[in-house]
Amino acid sequence: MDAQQLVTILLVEDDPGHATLIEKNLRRGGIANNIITLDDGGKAVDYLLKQGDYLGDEHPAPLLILLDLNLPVLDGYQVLKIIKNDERTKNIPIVVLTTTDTPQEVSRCYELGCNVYVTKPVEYAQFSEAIRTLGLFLAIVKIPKKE
Amino acid sequence: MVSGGACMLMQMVNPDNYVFTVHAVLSLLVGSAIALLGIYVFIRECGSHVGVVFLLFTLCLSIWLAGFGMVYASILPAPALCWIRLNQMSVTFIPAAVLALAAALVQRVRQFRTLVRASVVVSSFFCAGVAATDLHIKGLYHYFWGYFPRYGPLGIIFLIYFAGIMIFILSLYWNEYRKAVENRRRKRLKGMFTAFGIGYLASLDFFAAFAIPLYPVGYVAISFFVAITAYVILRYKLSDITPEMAVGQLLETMQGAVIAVDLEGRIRVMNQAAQTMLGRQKNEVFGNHLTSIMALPPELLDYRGLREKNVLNHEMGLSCMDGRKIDVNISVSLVSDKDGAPMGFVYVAHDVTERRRSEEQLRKYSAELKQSNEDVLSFAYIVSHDLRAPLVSIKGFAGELQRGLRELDDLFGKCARHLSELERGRITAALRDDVPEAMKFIGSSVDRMERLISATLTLSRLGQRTLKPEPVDMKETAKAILSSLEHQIEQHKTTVTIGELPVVMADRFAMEQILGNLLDNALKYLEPGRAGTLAVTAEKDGDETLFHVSDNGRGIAKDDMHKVFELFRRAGKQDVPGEGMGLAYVKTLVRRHGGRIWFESEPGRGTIFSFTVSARFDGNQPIA
Repeated sequence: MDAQQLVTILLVEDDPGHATLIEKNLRRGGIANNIITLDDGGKAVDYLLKQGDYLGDEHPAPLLILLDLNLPVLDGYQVLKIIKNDERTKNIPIVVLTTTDTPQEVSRCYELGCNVYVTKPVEYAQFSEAIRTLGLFLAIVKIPKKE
Repeated sequence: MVSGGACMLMQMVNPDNYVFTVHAVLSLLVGSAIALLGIYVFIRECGSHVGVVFLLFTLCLSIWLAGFGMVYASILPAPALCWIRLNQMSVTFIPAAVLALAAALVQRVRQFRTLVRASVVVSSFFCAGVAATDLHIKGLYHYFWGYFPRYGPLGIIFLIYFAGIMIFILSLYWNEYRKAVENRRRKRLKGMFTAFGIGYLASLDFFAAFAIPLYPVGYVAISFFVAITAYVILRYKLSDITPEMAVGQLLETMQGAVIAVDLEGRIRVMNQAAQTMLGRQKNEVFGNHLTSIMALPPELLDYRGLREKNVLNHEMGLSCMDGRKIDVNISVSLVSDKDGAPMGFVYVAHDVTERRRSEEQLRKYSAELKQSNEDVLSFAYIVSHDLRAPLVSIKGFAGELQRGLRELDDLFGKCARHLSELERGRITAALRDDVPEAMKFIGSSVDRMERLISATLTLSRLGQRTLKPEPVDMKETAKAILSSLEHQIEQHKTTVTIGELPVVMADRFAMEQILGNLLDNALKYLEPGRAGTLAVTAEKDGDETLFHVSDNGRGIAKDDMHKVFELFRRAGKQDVPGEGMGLAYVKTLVRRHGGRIWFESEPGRGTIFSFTVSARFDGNQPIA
């Protein structure tokens, strides 16, 4: 548990319902990490690159990003591209969380550098399961950070 | 006659043996005139079949009449008899000639060929009878107008044969006339009928051959007959199309513009269509260089190159004299003389403006249709995606509510004893009946919505998926599908027949989906309690292969038939699970293969679904 708290989760999700559900299920899955929620792609980029409204801010590190694809201002693909092309942010693990499960879109996300792609299932049980799996994943990804 | 052949000839050519009376001269003149008319028609008809037959016919008549002229002029009986034999030999061929002419005039030459040949044989027989025996011409009569043949028994038979042919021809004309619908043909046949009627009067001449001194005025009737026939031939153009005619007439009437130039490119021939297309008269441009009336690209003017290789289907724009801009398709070819030496070049141009325009229009429509098709598909895709997002929330929060409810229920259990009977009852009703019932409906509706959305998504993906044509063995495909449906087949005690199914060029996945859905449906909708029969057959139909999937199931009611291929619509009793997607998929896939799908059904008896797979499918999506 101590180890997990090192990672701050940045949730980029414009649908407040989804954001709440994701957070609830993460918590229920035993993940106690700090979660920061942003509701558009533009804010996410500003936050990560410390520009615009976030100019000069000091952010917690290390980070893990949960990214939705259908986002206002900048969509998930654009955010992915910007983050993965910036030296300061390219090593941040990104989990794409979306309703889309078209093979082309999945592969496009992987090409852009996302680490894990999770389809938001409608089935409540499945959803919890997905988030819990994600919790396990979080526990794994932060281990190298600690070393 | 046989003994003194030479002497007889001497007598025949001796002018002292002739006195040219008015009767003789008239007959000679009419005979010659008829021959001239025959020759004239023959030339005018450029040697067509009817022209040839008419010429032979007029020659027969001419020898007959002119021969009589010589008979009438004869002073001595011996040369008169010679002339009679000569002219009567010609007469024997008149029936055959008349028959051939009639066949040509009613344009049924082929049909009457045998009959005409037979009549020629019969006529030859009579001709021989005239020449070599006394059975036909027994001797001479001498009337006031001169000598005249005396017919023997064979002559009588000949006259019967002649009359028979004439009656046959008259009835032929009459029947053809009554059947004819086209105005020109009716007029022509009426003319011929009249002409024959008049010509028939000439048979009165034969009375004199039987000692009845009736002055032979047949040549008058014959003159009319021949004149009318000639008029009919020339007026109504009965000519066959001959190469000679084609050169002149067809060139002028053809739609393509033809210009022939010599080896220097100077205009020598220009047909009507070329004059119309270019807006120039041929006499004003004759001998000018082709480039003076048409702006042509160098490859069409490279006469050295054109000797080696013709130019075919060169499409270009052309500005006409009257300012019109047209698209033309031009072909240029070398013309050589009989010895193979180059003489010039022929340019053939077709106005393809209309065709180009409609092609352009078609391309535009096709692009628009494709675009709107894509729009619909991407619309379906976007909608189904965006609709899914709120569902995730609804379903998720319904789960949260459920969780909260369990919590409340748990607490209620603990504090129930502190409440009154009434309060407990109200809470129980809300907590254990009303709210769970509402949750259940929310849940099932979301599930249904989710299924509909993913079905729409699947359909739109099918529409966008790239089809990969490969040889698909339909028999193997059907077998594989049926083995996966084994359970259902046994459940319904179904007899399955797979006919000879060919290998088709198609997308494998699509074919599996099509057959799979049709077979699954056929099994799903079998009549419960009746042993099922199921058959998959195929037949070749031109460029397509036709597949049939037939069952003896419950069938589809007439009122439901329109629903069958519609998305989310299901026909008949809703006692079998399904989304109403299967046939909508199938239809999309069949259409994307350029095929058609339809069905025939009788409620209670069964249904036959049929679809086609085109042999020309190349993976390009047709306009669906």
